[in-house]
Amino acid sequence: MVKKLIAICLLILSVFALSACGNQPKEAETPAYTEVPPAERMALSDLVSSVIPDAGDLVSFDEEDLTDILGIEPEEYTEFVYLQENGLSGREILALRAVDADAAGRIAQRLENYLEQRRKETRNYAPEAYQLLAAAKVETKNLTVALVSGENAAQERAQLLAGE
Amino acid sequence: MKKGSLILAVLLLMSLIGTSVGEETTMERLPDEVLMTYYNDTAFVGDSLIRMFRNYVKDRQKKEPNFFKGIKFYSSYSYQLRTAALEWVNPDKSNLVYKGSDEVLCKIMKDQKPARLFILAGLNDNFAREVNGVEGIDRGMRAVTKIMELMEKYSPTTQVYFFSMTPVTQKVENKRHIREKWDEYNAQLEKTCQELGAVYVDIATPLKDENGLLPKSISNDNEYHLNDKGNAIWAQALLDFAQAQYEAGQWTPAGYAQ
Repeated sequence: MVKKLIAICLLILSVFALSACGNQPKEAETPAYTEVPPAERMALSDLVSSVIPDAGDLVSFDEEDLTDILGIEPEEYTEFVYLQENGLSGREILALRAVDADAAGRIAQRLENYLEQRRKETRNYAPEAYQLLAAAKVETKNLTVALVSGENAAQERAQLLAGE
Repeated sequence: MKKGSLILAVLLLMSLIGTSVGEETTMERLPDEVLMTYYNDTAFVGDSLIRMFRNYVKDRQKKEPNFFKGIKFYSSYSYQLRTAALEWVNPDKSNLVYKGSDEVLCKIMKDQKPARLFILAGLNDNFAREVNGVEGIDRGMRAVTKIMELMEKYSPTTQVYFFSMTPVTQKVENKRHIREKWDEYNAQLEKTCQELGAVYVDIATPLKDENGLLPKSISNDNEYHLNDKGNAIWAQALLDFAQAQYEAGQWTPAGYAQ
């Protein structure tokens, strides 16, 4: 009789133990996107090199060109990449990390103006270049502004901005 | 015997004197990196040829950072010499872009005030034919005169240089028959430059083949534009020009007192 009582108590205890296992709290959901702090982001030049397959073949422009041609001042950005094909093809990449949201807005406007000027000068003169530039877009994500002109412009632009 | 030796000595002496009198004294050829400093504080302005030369220079600077590093380039694909002669922006024209906006040459030079300004334009002006009763070459020279007036007004300390019109390929010559016209234009441009205090720079001759045309091998479109080989010839012509300026006493690079 005592043995039977002990066995029943053990059985009840087992049942309780098993049911307690099933009530574990849920793990906290991991967010779908985690913003990478600036210190941990890839340098813009390295990012462009990894995303743009022909980056090494393109002609590179400097800070002075960015100011002289586009009117973008050095105090408006922390990093930039400005590449253009050495010819009349219309292949071009411009990417800048702005210092703040206002600067990003101004840079985006400058790139839009520049894109329009490039379209105007190629429309009748270099039709193939015009085709690429007509399809190109300026896009901003957080503080990064990008203009990509090329056969895979949309994909390259998306890859450039993905981690920004 | 003594007389013979004397005659021989006199003859030898005379030949030595003759050699030194007949021999021209030539100045040393300066190193390329020194010749490139002639182009410090310089602006190159013009059409698609200037644009492509700019890209060629930038490409070379990847491995040679000092390669013509003193030149700033301002260009537009269909840029005309007559647009360079405007004092105000005409939005219907192919304009230079400066700091994000269309701008005229003289205002850019007013802002930049370079020591030297080199201009290459005319290809897109169609100076080969008469327009409204005015002969093409005359239209060109009117534009040159106007440019000089504007430069005197807006940047009088800048020395102005005009590049010759560059040759075209056989393919273009077959269609347009302009070779002789452009040789005539260049001759008149040289004369006008002398009259107005500008400097004429001949880059046509080094680019021409034996027929006076641009060889296909140095053109990237078999029409007007230069490939890397063609642009290398242009770069060499610039170095030769700087050397000529040095030899003529027109320029002394730092560290080379004449």
